[in-house]
Order: sequence, then C-alpha cells, then structure tokens
Amino acid sequence: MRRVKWLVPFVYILFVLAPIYWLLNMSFKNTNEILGTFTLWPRTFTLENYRKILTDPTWYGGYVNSISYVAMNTVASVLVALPAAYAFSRYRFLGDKHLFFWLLSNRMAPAAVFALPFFQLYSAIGLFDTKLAVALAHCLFNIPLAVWILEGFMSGVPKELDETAFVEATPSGASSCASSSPPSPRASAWRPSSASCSRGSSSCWPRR
Amino acid sequence: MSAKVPNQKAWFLVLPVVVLVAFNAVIPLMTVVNYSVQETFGDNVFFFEGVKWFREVLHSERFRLSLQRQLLFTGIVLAIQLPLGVAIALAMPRKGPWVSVNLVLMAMPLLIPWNVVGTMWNILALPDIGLLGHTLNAMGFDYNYTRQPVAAWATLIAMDVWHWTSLVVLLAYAGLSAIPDAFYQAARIDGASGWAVFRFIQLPKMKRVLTIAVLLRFMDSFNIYTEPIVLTGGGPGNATTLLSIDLVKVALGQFDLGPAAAMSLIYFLIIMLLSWVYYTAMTKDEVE
Amino acid sequence: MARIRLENLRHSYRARPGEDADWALKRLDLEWGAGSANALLGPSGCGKTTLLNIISGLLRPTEGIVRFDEQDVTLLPPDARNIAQVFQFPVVYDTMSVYDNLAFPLRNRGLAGAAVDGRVREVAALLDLDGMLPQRADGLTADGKQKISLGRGLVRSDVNAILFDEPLTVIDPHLKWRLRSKLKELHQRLQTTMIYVTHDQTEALTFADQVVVMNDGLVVQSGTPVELFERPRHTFVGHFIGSPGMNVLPATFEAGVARFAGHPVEVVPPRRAPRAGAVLELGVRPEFVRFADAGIPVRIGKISDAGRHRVVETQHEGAVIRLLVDEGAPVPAERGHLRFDPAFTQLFADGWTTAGEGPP
Repeated sequence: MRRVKWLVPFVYILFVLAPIYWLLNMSFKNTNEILGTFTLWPRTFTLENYRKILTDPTWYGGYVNSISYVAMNTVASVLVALPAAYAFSRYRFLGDKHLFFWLLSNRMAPAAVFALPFFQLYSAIGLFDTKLAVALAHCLFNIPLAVWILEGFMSGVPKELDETAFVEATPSGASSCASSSPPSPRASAWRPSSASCSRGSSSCWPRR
Repeated sequence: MSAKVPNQKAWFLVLPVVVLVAFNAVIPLMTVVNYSVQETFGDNVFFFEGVKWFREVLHSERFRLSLQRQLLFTGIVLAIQLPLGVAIALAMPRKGPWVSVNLVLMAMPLLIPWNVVGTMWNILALPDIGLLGHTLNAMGFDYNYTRQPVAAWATLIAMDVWHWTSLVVLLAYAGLSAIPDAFYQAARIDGASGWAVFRFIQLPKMKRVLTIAVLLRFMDSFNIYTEPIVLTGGGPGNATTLLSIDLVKVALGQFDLGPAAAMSLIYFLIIMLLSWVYYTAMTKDEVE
Repeated sequence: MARIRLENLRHSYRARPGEDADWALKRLDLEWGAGSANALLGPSGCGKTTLLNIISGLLRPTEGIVRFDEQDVTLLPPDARNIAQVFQFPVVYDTMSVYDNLAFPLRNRGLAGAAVDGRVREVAALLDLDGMLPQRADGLTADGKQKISLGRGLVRSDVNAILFDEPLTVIDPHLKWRLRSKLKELHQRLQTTMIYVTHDQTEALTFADQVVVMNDGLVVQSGTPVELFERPRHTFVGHFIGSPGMNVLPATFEAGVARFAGHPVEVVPPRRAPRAGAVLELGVRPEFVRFADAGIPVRIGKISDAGRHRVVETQHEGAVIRLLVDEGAPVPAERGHLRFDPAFTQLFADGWTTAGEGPP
C-alpha cells in the first residue's frame, strides 16, 4: 500500500490538469476545428486566437478593467487592513472581539444579497458602472479577509520587535511599518492573488 | 502569545476598515431590511407591510425548492470534498523532491477566476466537442448537461469538486505537516496499525484545520453563484437554480424588491445560524 | 532487559559519504550492561539523537552492527526490538484516557483484557498516575504527559531497554528534579537497561552509572561520572563537565618536564610521547588548584561567591586560572602562588590526554 500511495495524488492531479489542458488545446485551434471535429491536439495549430485577444479592444479592454480595479482594491484593502490588523493584534479595546467577529461575518454574506442594494447604492452616489465602484464594493469581502490573515501574521511577530523599533528613535509611523511589514510581505503578497480570482469573475458587478 | 495592551485609541487604527466595510455592508443591509418590510407599486411610494414578505417567501414553493436544491448541493459537495481532500493530503509526500511540485499543481484550481472555471467546464462538458462530453457519449452514455437535469447536476458537482477540493487538501496537508515525527515514531514503537495512526494521531491533530475547512466550504458552497450561472444558467429549466441564483433572478430579473429583500435576509440568517451552530459545536471543548 | 552492544558503528546521512565531515557518527564501539543506567551527553548536534535512533531502530546505520544480548537487531524495525522511547515532548494520544494510553501497546499486541488491566494499574501506581486513569490524556500537565509516555514504555514487561531523548526539556524547572528522582527510582526498582540522552550534565551525571560524552559525532569518552570528572580524556570533556570547567593552559614539554609559562608543573606521567608539532595544553580542574607559598605566580582577579565555596579567577601572563576556595578560607589580596595537584593535572596533546589512550 505504501508503494502505490503516490498514485492517489497523481491521479487527482491528472484530473486537475485535464480541463486546463483542454482549454490550452482549444486556444490553439481555429473555430472550424473546434466546432467541426473532436481532436485531442490541434491539427491546425494557430496563434490567431491569442493575437485577437491581445489586439482587439473589446477583448483586452476586459483585462485592463480587471487589472485596474484589482489594483485599486488591493491597494485600498491592504492600506486600511494593515493598521487595523496591527490594532487587533496588539491592543485590547472596547468591543474588539465583537468588531472582529462582525468583520468576519461579512465573509459569509451571500454576494447575491448585495446585488440589488449595491445597484441602488452606487447609482445613488453616482459611481454606477465605474471601476471605482467595483473596487469599493469588493472591499466588503476582501478587507475582513485581509484583516484576518494579516492579524494572524502580526501576532506571530514578537512585540519586542516593535518595541525595539520604537526605541531606536525612528518616527513611530515609519518604525511600525518597517518592523511589522518585513515578516508580512508574504501575507500581503497573498492578498492580490485571491482578490483577483473572485474579482475577475463576479459577473454581478461590472455592467459594461 | 504576549498580552495585548488595553488602548482605546486603537479605534483610530480600525476606523478606516470600519468605515469602508460598514459603507458596503450596513447601508445595503439597511436598504434590504427597509425593502423587506415595505411594498411599492412604483413611483417610489412605499407602504409598510410588516412580515408579509417574510411569510410569503417562507411559504412559497419556489423558495422551498431552491432551498432544497441548495441543501442537497452543499450536502453532496461537502460529503465528497472533505473525505477526498483528506485522503489526498494523507497520500501526498511530506518530504522529498516532489513536495513543491505537488503543492503547486494542487493549488492551481484555486487560482483560476471563478467565471473562467465555469466557462472551462461549460466547454469541457459540451456533448459533441468537449473532452468530457464527447468521451462520455462515445462510451455509450447519453449525456447532455444542457438538457438533462441529472447530467447538469453531475457536471455541476464535478466542477465544484474540481475547483475546491484542493482547498481541503492544502488545509489538511498543512495540518498534517504540523504533526511532529515523534508521534509517528512513538506509534511505530507502540505497534500501532496504519488505521490506528490515522484515528488516534492524524485525525485529532487535524481537527482544528478541518473545522475551518468545513466552515469555509459550507459557506462558499451555500453562497455559490458564479460557477453554476456560467455553467448552466440555472437550467435546464430550474434544475440547478440554487439559492443565490434564484435570489438574483427575483431581485434583478423581476425587480420584486420586497420578496427579494425578505429572501435575502432569510438566506443570510440561515447561513449565520448554521455556521454558528457548527462552529460552537466544534470548538466547545477547546480552551482558547 | 538486554545488554546492548554497538560494533564498528558509523553513520552518515549522505548517500555517498566521503570525508570525515560527511559522517554524522564517527566509528565507535560501545557496550552497555544489562540493567545499567547510562547517559549520552553532549552539545546539540553532536550525534547523540542519531545514536539513540540507531539503537531504537528508527534509523538504520550506514555501517556496523547493533546487538541486543548477542542477537543482531540492526535490520529489525522498532516494534520488533522491544524497546520503549520517551521523546523530548510528551507523545500521548490526546483523545484517549490515561488508562487507554497505557493499555495501547498491550492491546496492539493482542493481550487479553485482564492481563492488560493488571499491567496498566501496576505501572500507573509506579508512576503515581493511578488517581488519573479515567481522565482524558490531553488534560494533564507536561510532566503528567511525560509520565504517560514513560508508562507506555514500562507497561510491556519484556522491554529490552528504555531510551530517553532529552525528556525533561519541556518540564517546568521546579518539577524537573521530581521527575529525575522518579526515573532514578524506577531504574533501581525495575533494573531495566536505560539510555538517557541529554545536553545537561547534571541530569547525566546524577542519573547514570556510565556516561558517554560525545562531540561532533565522535565518542570522546565513556566512563563513570567520577572518571569523567577526575580523568577527562579530552579537553572537551574537561570544559563540558563541571562548573566551572577545567582550566586549560598552554604548555610545553621538554625532556620529560611539562611547563606552563616557563614554570615546571608536575603532571600525571604521560604514557605516550606527544607527536612533534602537537598543540600542548595543561588541564587541571579548579577543584584541584590550591594557593601555596611557592609555585606559579598569579594576580588575583574576580572572586565569585558560589555558596559553599568561592571561585577565584587569577591571571598569569594572559592566561586565566580559576580555583575553588572554601568558604572562610583566606584569599590573598593581590598576588599569590598556585599549586596544581599532580594526581589530577594532565598534559593534553591536540586535545587528547597523554596520560591515557590517545584518540580512537
């Protein structure tokens, strides 16, 4: 049994790769071949599809939009989440546990519940159908997650590190950034990738 | 963990987060609550209706069916993903050259945008030109997920398993990696069988991680929207119209604000209740 | 209990070991008598855990043979060797009760319920765990859990040897001595062969009848605590054992006379001549240095109070020499003379004593 244990992840990985391979396969075929025949690899290999999405504005416009609002959202999320995570990790204040739990509870909110309200809210403030709106709206789901993860990492940074930084006579803002951030870049780096996945996909929000 | 210092000024650090999240959460929710207890016939004229919408939704056949479908979906998906994820994590190497390769490949489905996942499976399962669809039909099955409810469900579930089992795998793997070698060594010396090692060492030590995995998977599968809408659009007919999809249909398709709002609140409440019950049950004998 | 013998043992973690540095364990031959209490002492990374794992069967040695009572067990897995191992941190089955934890090894071997019960209660009484048998194992303190780990080893009556891998590491200091005495008491009662790995000399010297000192994969010396103290074979043993450690001073050796900074010093007669060009050192413990009217002239430095005696630090030509002076005995104010007890002063060549056998 121990010998063939590797078969389990191996088979699963094949399962994981199959749709991706199929996607790649199709991306190199022309439309005729896709609709006409069933082939396991492209008989008429073509780069036409890639050329199209990179040169046709209706295609690459999507990427540009996505990248811009993901960037906005990531910057906003990390910027506000870092001080909050620091506060949760280092301080006790009135209502902190309840606040933390409320933040996390937004993670379990069904996105569909907000479809209509967001529609109305962002129309009301005149941001309807803009990238900024999308970026802001996603703060609802992203910030709690960011705070949760960053708080976990910050709790792992010993308090003594902060204190040394403060003692070494640097302006307090810079010192806390400098000392808390280096161990956290891994955490901060994780944020954009998870942000872009569900971001790039929610069909509710951008109504182009 | 070092003690936290009481400091009320910390509220200033937390304020931006609160403002942003509250803006996006509290205002819409207030809107929803507002709509859920009022009726309008247009022209922005509203009448207070009390619990009328709630009663209507809870008694509506449509809502009940959606809820049933959703519970069925979540139940099946959890029942497959959790044991499968744990089994794969147990079988993955923990030392040696293949560790990183395994982890990277395992993580791939999690990185793909959700509507791409839906589209990918949509194409993959097409009866004549998709890899899956064509193969199944060639093997003698009569498979068409756009027309057959059972096929649609099977494809939906396969897609979700494909997409999210990796999360369970990675979480379980992390939990397993945290078990020191000494436990395995002691078990060997005690003459424990493989099953005993799983039951008495691995499973208890993974409990925390598995609790998180179940919670996350439950919440996400209960809220699922993007993948099924891209894959089947809720069809054929109503076959795969899960709660989220139904809600959006009611809210943005029909613009029935009252019922949609009531449904939203009920939806939200169900999740919170089930999550809270589950979480409390799992952590009641843990000392934080 | 079994007599354990290691013959010609060498171990490397690399696939193709070449030079000396590739070997985690250099060539060694060791024997431990049946029922003896032994310690493996050395700093972190010296190879003692490697050696322990070879004895327990968790590791297969690159070269050499392991024998339990003449039987070659080198290729046998741990469960076939009938040994028990207690690890650095407590290894208990959290979901089971204390009773079930202790019964686990017996049940796995298919013992009947009544026999299991008898054995479990016996061992629990031995370890003062009998009041806690029905409790869940994860509710116990660290020392309680270590006792359970120990108990699981003792519960098998035919156990060949009990191996301890720094078992007191996670125990609170004020409980350490209690557990230590318990272990000693257990050894006296059960007379099982015990091998105790530690980097703490107090633990090793108080527990074991025979101590093996290791450094960098090499067995430096094996002997009783007294032997290690009074006749260290290597300057490392001198440093490592005793607090403060042995004084090591640069020396010369000409015409059969050892000298420190020009002054002749009487040493234990060398059994072999040091090789040409060897680094020569004199080693003498502070316990064996006295103030005298004549001898090596020194300047008095720091005096530390260590309770029943005082540690006086003196200097001569840049070398520091420490000695112990009884409470109440006089210490010269600024200068004095030192005399080294010749029976306990040795000449070391390249670290190895000339008074006994050289390097292995």
